[in-house]
Amino acid sequence: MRTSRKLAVVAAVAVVFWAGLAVQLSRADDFRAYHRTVVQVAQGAHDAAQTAKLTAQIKAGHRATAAFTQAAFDDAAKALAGAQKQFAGQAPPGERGARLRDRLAPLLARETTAFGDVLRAGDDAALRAGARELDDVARQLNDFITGVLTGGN
Amino acid sequence: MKRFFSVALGILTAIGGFVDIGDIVANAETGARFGIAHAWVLLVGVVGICVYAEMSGRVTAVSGRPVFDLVRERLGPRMALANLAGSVLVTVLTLGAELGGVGLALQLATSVGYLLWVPVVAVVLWAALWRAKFSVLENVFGLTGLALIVFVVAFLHLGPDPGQLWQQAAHPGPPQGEDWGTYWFFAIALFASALTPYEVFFFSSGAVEERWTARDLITSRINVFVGFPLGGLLAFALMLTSATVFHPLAMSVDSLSQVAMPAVLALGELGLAAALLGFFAATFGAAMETGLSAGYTVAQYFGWSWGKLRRPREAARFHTVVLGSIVAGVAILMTTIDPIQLTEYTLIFSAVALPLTYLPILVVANDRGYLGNRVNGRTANALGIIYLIVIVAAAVAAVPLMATTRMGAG
Repeated sequence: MRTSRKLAVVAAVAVVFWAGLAVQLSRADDFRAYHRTVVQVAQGAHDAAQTAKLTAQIKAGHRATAAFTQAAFDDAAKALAGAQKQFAGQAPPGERGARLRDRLAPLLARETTAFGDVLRAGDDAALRAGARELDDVARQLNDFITGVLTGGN
Repeated sequence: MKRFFSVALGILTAIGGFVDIGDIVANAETGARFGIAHAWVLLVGVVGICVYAEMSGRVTAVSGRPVFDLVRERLGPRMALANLAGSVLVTVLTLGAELGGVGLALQLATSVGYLLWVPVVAVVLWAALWRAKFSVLENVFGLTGLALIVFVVAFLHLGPDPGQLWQQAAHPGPPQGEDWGTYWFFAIALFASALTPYEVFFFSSGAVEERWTARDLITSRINVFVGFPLGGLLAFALMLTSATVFHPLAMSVDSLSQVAMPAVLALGELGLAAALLGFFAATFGAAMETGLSAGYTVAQYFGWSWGKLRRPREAARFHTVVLGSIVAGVAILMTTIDPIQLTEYTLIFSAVALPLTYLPILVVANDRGYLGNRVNGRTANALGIIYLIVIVAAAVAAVPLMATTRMGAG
């Protein structure tokens, strides 16, 4: 095959790939896409809650340096912020989607509060109480994920 | 006695130097999400790197030339160029990921943001590659990497449930909440983490740097067949601790602070110190290896003078490529891409490029013109071909799985 033909084939493949990507990205949101987003958000928030809980337990037990716990809290905060950004970035496409949103939103709000309490905890008792609250939120998020994945919505 | 110590040092260096950011991320992530259901993949990957590292060590020890040099001569400049392009791209991406890993380890130790550390680390890395002796670089970071043994100790302290772990290992497959697509996506990432292309180029070029001859074949084989599997055990310990702490909580791992947590939970500040030291040594050591590997492959392809045996002024183009790779690695990180995410992408691209690296090694290792009667035997060829089939399958499946699972998000 001549070089010009090879180049033409490569260019055609690139155009088809790009067009496919454009179609995929510009497709209107449907319930399936929203359902997937909600699950991802819940998983991200769940991971952030578990990480913050473990870090709070480590800090309360004086088992690590302040630099480490600070960095671990920062990582958890970044994960929670990412999940919230993703959640806020997509509107529910219909009534079913809105029901999902209304179930997840309070859990995220509760986690944000619990996380804030842990970050400003002044003593070990407050840290442990915050860790328990985060553990509870994480458990509820896990139940939510399981319910959504097995029940559909 | 001197030879005994040399072999022992080689083994210890191979153990400590086996783990890099790819192994750290892939093993911790799979452990958290799938328990040890991917243990077999790690085993397959470690055997694979042993098979091909033995071949490349043998090629170099017998011919006195590095593998890449022979690949160009044996397969021609076109084939070697494809190999060069694939491996240099993956190696520079890996270098960026390793630099990010060093930055993250320093962030966990100091709470100063990793992006502030990256340029400092890059300058120190360049200075080390410019000034320090090859053996010093290899031994210091290989030995310090042994600090990752803390994850073996942590695993024992955490009081794991052996029955549960055995159940996971004996029944490979996705647990509840995961699907086969993500299972295979992470299997490929884990496999690629064990067989990263730079490892064989570094191993083979390092053998030239250390002036190996056919008499050193036994040393090469001991390093490979003892050091690499024991290094694989360190990687397995990361998977085990992650599976013990995070899998029961149904959580995933996407930061280095999470990877260190099992060591902290089990051993407190001492565990943290050892884990951070191990992360630092593993990633900085791998950054040196990837930086040098980029220089080795480019210089060997173009026939330039290369290596740390020569003074920098005698291998100016080699050192320029090394410096350019470091700058490129820093530039990638300065886009603010998360180093862990960069590592995940690197592993997938690495999987795609694997056949370009390993097929030529198999061809050269069968060439009597270079190896005489030291060419591959039946076992080496059988294993080499089986692994090549696995490597090609992984390369073909990597990108479709990346797209369909949204980088393993499911």
